[in-house]
Amino acid sequence: MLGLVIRKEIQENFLNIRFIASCGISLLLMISSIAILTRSHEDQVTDYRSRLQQQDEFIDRFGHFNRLGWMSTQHRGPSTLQALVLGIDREAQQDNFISNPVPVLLSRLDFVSLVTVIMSLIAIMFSYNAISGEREAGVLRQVLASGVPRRTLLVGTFLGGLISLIVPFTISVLAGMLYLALSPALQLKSVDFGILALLLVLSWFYVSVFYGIGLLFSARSHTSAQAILKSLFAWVMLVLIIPNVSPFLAAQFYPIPSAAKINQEQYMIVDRERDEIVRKRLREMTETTYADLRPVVGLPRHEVEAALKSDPSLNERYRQYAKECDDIIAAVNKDQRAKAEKIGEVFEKRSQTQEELARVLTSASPLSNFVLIATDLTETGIEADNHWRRQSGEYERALGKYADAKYRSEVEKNPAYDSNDYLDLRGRPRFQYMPAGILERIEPDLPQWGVLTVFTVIFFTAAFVSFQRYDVR
Amino acid sequence: MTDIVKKELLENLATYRFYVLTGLMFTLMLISIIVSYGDYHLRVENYNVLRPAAHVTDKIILPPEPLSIFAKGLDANVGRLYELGALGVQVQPNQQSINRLSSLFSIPDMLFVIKVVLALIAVLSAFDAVCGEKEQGTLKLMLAGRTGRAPVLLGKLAGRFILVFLPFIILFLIASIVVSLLPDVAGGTEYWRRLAVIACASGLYAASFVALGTLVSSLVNRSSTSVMLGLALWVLLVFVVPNLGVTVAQSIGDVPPSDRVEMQNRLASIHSIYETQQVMKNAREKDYSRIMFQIREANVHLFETYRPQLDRLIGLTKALVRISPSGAFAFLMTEMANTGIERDIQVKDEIWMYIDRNFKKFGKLEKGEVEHFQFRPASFGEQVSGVALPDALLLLFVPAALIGLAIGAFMRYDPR
Repeated sequence: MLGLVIRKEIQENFLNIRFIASCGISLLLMISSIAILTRSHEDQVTDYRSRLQQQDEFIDRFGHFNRLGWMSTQHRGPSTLQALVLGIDREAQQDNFISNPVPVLLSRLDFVSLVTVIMSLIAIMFSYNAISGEREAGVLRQVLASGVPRRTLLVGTFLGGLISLIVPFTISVLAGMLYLALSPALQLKSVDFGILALLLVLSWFYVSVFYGIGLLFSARSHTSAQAILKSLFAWVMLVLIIPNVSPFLAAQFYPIPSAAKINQEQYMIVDRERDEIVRKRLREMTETTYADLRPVVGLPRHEVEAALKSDPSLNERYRQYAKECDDIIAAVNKDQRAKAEKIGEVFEKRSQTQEELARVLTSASPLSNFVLIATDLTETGIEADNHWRRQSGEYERALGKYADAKYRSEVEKNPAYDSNDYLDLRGRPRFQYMPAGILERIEPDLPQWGVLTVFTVIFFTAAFVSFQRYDVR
Repeated sequence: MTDIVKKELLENLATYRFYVLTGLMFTLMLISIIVSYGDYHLRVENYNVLRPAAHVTDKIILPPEPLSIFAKGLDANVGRLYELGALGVQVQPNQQSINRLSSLFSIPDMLFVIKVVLALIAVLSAFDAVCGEKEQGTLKLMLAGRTGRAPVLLGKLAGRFILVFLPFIILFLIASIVVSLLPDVAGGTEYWRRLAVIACASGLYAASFVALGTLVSSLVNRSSTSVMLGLALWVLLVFVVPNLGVTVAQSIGDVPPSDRVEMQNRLASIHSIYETQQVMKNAREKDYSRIMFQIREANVHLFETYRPQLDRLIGLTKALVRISPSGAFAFLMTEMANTGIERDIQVKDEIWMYIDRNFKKFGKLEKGEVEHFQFRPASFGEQVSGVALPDALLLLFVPAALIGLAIGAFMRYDPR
């Protein structure tokens, strides 16, 4: 009996012109969006590689200790599946004075927006009259009178409708994914195919939530007109309002200080305050311990080198002086950095608490759960941001250590060598971003998977209960 | 025609649909104002913390725009702290104290409510204007009278438009009055003039979607088909066309990302400093002006090469996005709220010119005081006759064209 109801539902849908049109549109949009974004992704990859090369060559040719941090900024390459899930748009972060302002105002069309907005709406469009529409047409009475149990009818309608939605959707997604897989610039690995499969499963879950919503309101309304209004009301709240409002509400409930203010404080500590302390301590040292070197210290470089060459005892004394200067600078740098880091840590903790609160508030919407899982799976979201920051920080420390050792060995060889002189850094460690493994990407979002499942179960159960008491006349 | 309008109003005023849609609009406008004011208030607090002392000339920050409560647009962007120097401009990243989750979703301001929800309400209010009457069998009776088809359709359109726009404009007016009374918001003439333009634009925008719903209703025989088609067109015009426009423009615009330009600028500056220091190493008199000039030259070259490319990309994006009235409305509303793309460009241009005028003083190459930065925003008149005009004309044209098409379709509509 159940098989019969499912088959009837699928046949009815497949022969429906609006169904064919909806599927055709979603297929067209899916493939065109993936094709355009893949092209854009290829350009981004090329640009990223050329930027890396340019910066590397610059450090090889003009590397020096003083401005190493400034010249060795880590570039973040585009994620492999960014053509599918754009995630946090980096151009919209507007980090540069000359950034393009458009992405702040308007977002781009990707797989996520197609599934979250268009597929959810299509799901509602196909379920809102599944019960009330049949009642209006007088079919529902006949079907129930012919001995089909209510629960079989509802389960059959749900499964049949869902299958007829998911099959063409899966075909369009697979077509888009095939396009991705064939792109020479992307070079998908086995882990990427695993992620693509998970994205597909995730989309099924998401679509089933909205199919359930449509079915629920259909089973709670006497007419299709009422059902569509109620379903759309729920859709607007779940898709357009809750996800967008939650981050701002979290900021109201748990305000944090201005990031710019914290940056300014940190800058003052590691820059101006540090310079002042270093200057003071060097002056004190020169005036007390190395007063004899005062006439040499202010001379031009070549004269210092000549004086050191001609007088070995002066050379030894200057070497000691240079070493102590470096020790003072290193000690002050360490203290000031620790002070700034402490301020940063406190701020980071508060930001994380606000983010957690926003996550909790936003999880009331299936869309937010979908977006969080999809962006984390494809390494375009918040977790990937944290992952990248950690690796980038570790690399900065490793590079700093390497450059420091190199610099010290140069000073050892030539006491007059200073931090603005060329430093051969060709053997430096290179930054290689290691994407998180598939399990690492799934783990933080397990609650979101759970919430999506609960949503599907709740809406289906509510539809089931409502249909048991539905007046078919 | 007046009778038709009256009939439409009386028939729909007491319906379940009217209450649900008006309730939805009220809820969303309320949420939008509460959330947007909270966000604005945070930006004001940030501004007060970061505002440099009166004598500081190497830091610029512009106060948040009160109208950003209605359309946030680029206000958080424009209102960041700019640190100026002979080496160029640094912008403070992540100034806004909002968690990163907000970057994954849209901003729930009034612009969003009008652009997305008001348009949806308009389509849902009009989808059965013609085919619904046909299903009920009342269309035949209506057309059997002496009233011509065009007045019938115009009456229906006007009636449905009033049902959508009247509750909206009342709520909008209440919201505007409440916002004008809130702390940190100065509700002067400028505030009201700009909101009046936004209200008119919202009217035209809502009229476009009412006309679209009526057109669809005049093309099909069944309400269920009409609602499907209406929603499909709403999705197309509100989500697909603007977002796809941005995607296509970025793909074919062939403009390097700003990160590349920033890197080239940075490396050019380091190179200039490094080279000059190598030359200076053995000099008794140290003259660092050379570094400044070289860096300035590199900066100017990169800016002047990149800027026309960026302008072209923005132009192309605007042209593609304007295919939809939703895009034109977003541009118009943000410009009127002083949070649009042109405002962002104008602020950056003025900062750039300010550095250009004072570069030698910033680099200590010339004695004297650096002048104080004065931002002169475009006046209301300049904006209306300039940047807002194409969008305003588009918003006038779209409903007129759709009404024309709807009348054309209704003239050939079979009421049986």
